[in-house]
Amino acid sequence: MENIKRQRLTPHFHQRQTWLWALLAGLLFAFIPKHSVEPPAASRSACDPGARPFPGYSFLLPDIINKNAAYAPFFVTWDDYYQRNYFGKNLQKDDNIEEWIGRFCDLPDTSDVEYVVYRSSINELIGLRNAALAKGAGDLLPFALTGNTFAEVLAINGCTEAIDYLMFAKRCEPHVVAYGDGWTLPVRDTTVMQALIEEGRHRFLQTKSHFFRQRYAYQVVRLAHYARQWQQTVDLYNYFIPKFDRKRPSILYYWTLGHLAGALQQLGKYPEAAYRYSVIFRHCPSKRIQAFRSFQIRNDREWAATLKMCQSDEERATLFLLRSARSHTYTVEDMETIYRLDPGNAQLELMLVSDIQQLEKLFLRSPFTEKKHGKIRSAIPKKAAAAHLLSLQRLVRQVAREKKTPNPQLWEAMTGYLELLAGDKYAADKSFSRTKRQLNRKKKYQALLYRQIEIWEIVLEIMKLDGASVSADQAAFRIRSYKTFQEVSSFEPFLQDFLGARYAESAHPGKAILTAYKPEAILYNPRLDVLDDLLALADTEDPVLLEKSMKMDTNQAQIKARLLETKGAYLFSVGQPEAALYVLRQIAPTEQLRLPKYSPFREIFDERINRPVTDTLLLNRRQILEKLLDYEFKAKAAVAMNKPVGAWYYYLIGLGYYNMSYFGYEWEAMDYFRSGANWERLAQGPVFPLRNSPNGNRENTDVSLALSYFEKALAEARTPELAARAAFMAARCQQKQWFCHPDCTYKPGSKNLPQLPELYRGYYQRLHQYSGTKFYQQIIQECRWLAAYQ
Amino acid sequence: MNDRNTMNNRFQPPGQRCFPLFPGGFFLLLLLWLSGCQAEQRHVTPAFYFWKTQLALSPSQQTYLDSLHCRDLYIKFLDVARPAGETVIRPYALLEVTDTTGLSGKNIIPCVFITNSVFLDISASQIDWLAEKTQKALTSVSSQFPQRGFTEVQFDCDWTDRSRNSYFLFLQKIRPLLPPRCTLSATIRLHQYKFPNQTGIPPTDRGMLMLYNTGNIDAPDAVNSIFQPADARKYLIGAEPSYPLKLDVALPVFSWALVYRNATLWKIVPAPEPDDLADSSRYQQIPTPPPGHSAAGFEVRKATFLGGHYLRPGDLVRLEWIDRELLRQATALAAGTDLAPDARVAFYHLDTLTPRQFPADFLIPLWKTLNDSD
Repeated sequence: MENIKRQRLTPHFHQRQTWLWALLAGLLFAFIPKHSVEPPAASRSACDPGARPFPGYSFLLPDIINKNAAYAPFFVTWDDYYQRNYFGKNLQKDDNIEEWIGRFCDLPDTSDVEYVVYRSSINELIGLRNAALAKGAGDLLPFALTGNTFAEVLAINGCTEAIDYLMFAKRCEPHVVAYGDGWTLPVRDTTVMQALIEEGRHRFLQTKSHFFRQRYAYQVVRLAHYARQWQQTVDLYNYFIPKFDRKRPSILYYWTLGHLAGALQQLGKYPEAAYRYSVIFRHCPSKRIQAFRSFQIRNDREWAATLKMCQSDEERATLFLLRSARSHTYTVEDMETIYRLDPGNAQLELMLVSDIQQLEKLFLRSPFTEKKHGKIRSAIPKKAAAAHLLSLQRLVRQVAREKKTPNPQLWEAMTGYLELLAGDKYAADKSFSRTKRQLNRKKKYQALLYRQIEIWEIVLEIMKLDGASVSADQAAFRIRSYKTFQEVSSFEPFLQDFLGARYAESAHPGKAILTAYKPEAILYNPRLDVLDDLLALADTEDPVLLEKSMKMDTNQAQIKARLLETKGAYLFSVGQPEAALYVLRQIAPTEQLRLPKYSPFREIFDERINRPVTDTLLLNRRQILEKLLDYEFKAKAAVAMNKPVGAWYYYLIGLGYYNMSYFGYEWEAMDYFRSGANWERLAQGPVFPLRNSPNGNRENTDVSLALSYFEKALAEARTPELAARAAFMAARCQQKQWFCHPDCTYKPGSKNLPQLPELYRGYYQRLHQYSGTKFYQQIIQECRWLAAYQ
Repeated sequence: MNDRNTMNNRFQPPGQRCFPLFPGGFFLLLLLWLSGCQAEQRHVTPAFYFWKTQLALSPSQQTYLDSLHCRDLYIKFLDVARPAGETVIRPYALLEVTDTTGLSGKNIIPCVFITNSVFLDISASQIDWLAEKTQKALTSVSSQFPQRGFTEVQFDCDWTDRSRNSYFLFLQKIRPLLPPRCTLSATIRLHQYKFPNQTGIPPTDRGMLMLYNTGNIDAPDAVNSIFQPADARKYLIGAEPSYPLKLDVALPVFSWALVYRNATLWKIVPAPEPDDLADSSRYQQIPTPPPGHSAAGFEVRKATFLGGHYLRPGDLVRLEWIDRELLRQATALAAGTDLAPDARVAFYHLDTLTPRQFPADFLIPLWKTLNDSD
């Protein structure tokens, strides 16, 4: 009895409702033109277990800030742009090679320097050194270095100092790198490392070249750091650094400083370490990531101590910047401080854009966005966000007015966008116009800003759409026709959400759902207000609707008929047969012919949900309702006249209601979508979450009406055969009621018998009274576990 | 159904005397049987977890462990995780022993924490690979200890329905890679203890029942997510009287501050200093959680640093700790669980503040309550 076939969408549904989809697609097309795009694949309802977080709508062009700006990856996010283009690169290697090339007057090729410095073997370097000793004897170069421009430069110029350094570095290398794959601890030979430190110190003293002295110092300090000799690292740094000519900039200084900072942190000198990391962060791109990650302030005392070490406002501004970036949220207070200390700090723009990215996520959402994607995670409470937006607007206006930043037009443009986010459409419109007038489109960046403002103007136009206006559909079509609209992928889903919300606010719930969702959304859990709104729309002379409907080879009468049918089916399903019939009778006679037909009054005692092939008379919904009401009339009359046939009519009515419920083979008479998966969670119903449906999916699981008719039939039955039938069907209803009870733990599909509590076993026990009937003998054969309930 | 009656009826039909022929012999046999099958007396020993990445026991910690007669130390050797969005499984935070003083004579039990995500979508060959890598990591880290070998290795993974089979297969795969006679143990969460049929029983020799983390750490309005007797009781009431593995028990002796930003857990600050949240110009105490739960709530009034994190005005901080009374209650609940006769009671975890907060003269009588009285 429990072999219920689970299915998301039955074949019947497809076959019988093709016309409906065509029609509703037509309705949808009334709102979405051909070029409309689907919402992103990631868009899923919050209830969907496979849902991925929705990042929110953004209308910021990545290029309005310099994405390649050294600090950008720490502040702004544009998909995986930085992972691909920034974090994936070995900046340290690139910068080092660049310094080597510069040192040798830009003569060698990058790849050749890379080979000699990073990949050559010690034997190759020995060979190279021999060649350098025999100045210009290129034919003595080791085979692997033949043709290598850098090796040739070194050999021809007899640069043994460089080769000696490279050989030393090659010997240091095994002691200062992570071993293997990280699954084992590195084993450091501290004796050899100390010997190398000593050798490096001597070489430093013997070397004249500033370039190589810096490199020896770096190697030695690094060795001490990796040997975990923290104090020795500090001492060596203090020994070497005064001997450097700081006027000759080199990335090696910052690399060495990084090891000092690491040692200081290990020694518990957090402020000293943090200050040095901030210096590295500011000046050394190749160590910026490490500095950012290692920067650590533990408490307010350390923060104050670190601030005291700063020697300029620029350094102080960097500290504020790091503090903000590390905490992942930016306060206007921080930006104000940085602006006051260092108004030329380019990072302010990054902070601004990053902050606005966060605000977009909050303010460019509509109730439909929430319904589709769920609530935003980690969102600032709206009240706090509004206060933040206001204070940011104040700062942006000030900065735009004072024009002290490197890029004042960006701040000017942002003034308008922030007004838009704040909901001040009038001010935003004026600001956009004003800023556009000031921009010179012949200049590349200003042309880019101009385009950015054009995008925001479309956002503004969407936000201005009035759901109460009859021309909203046409306005939406016009907006969709803009080239810029079609180029920005966020626009279409944003328009759907936003216009849907506007329609909903303007008492157009039907248009709202059709705008924001696919047309089948109105069928999953039909709502009268939605259907009435669409029926009213079908009665109008809306040119867009008509035009699109004609394209679908349909007509208004057909559209209206399908909507009336949906409404009728809904009223039927909620136990209002008279109202349902009234609605269905409004369908034009020509359209009545198209209505699908069912056969709900058959006695089928298994639990299949597909109607078997039948030669029984098939009825459309209107005819079913007429039949039901007729049976009711006849039943009442018969009972009043004490005629036995009344019980039979009640039984037929109960049979019809049961068969048309979620549990019956003719469920489609009252519903358009049935999910077999809901068997597993009946107690959570009757409305179940469903992707792409704003109101979920309602299943007709309530069989109390059917039960009431079986009870009447049982009360009026004059023959044991009919009483047995009525008792059995009443028992089935009670069983289903128990399946929908929160305490029921029975899993449909289980091989075990569903245990029914006493309260739900009454009619099974009553059935036992009719054990002498033919029906009982038949049903006990069909339902082998029936005996368990007796 | 009435199973109990059915059983009684089977062995003792109504009205029929038991063993009518040799009543005296029967009692003799019964006595012998009872003496042979008498439940083994439970005699627990204390242990501590050490869960940091650098190990150097301070003199006070060494003295503390000695005064507790604590020989057994569960020490985390490494974490294994799968970074978000990546398929590769990586080791993290391999233990670095910076000072071995105080470790001689201790029974070190290496622990490996593996995130649940590691065992989602993992192939059998990857499990083989992971077992080998983990064994290598254990060998590498153990080389820093004066001990020559270990008698037990423990794995900590909060497995779920989806990851269970893979995790259990991993445990089976790593067993032959460990030294012979090395005990394999796994941590058991409370829900896993209560529903062994649904959650599965790890294929190990022993289990460590974790009697903490009973609350919802993600909920800003939770009372004390470390331990609340009522929460723990929900898991223990209705649990089967015997768990299929020999069980040890872990009890909490730690504190933390949970920082919530925008109603979402943002950071965990382990073991905050008592004075960290005392500055009323920066933190305003709020009424939730209410007093009496070893927890206190604060709202950040002025931006400030806490445990290396920069807190913003509006952030909420919930300080949670375990006091002696709570630990007593946890121990009392542990007494009612199915602990092994040779169970260890392991305190999580040894920190600088632990000797002060839970001195030996408090802890010794407490863990001894888990012993069966003779």
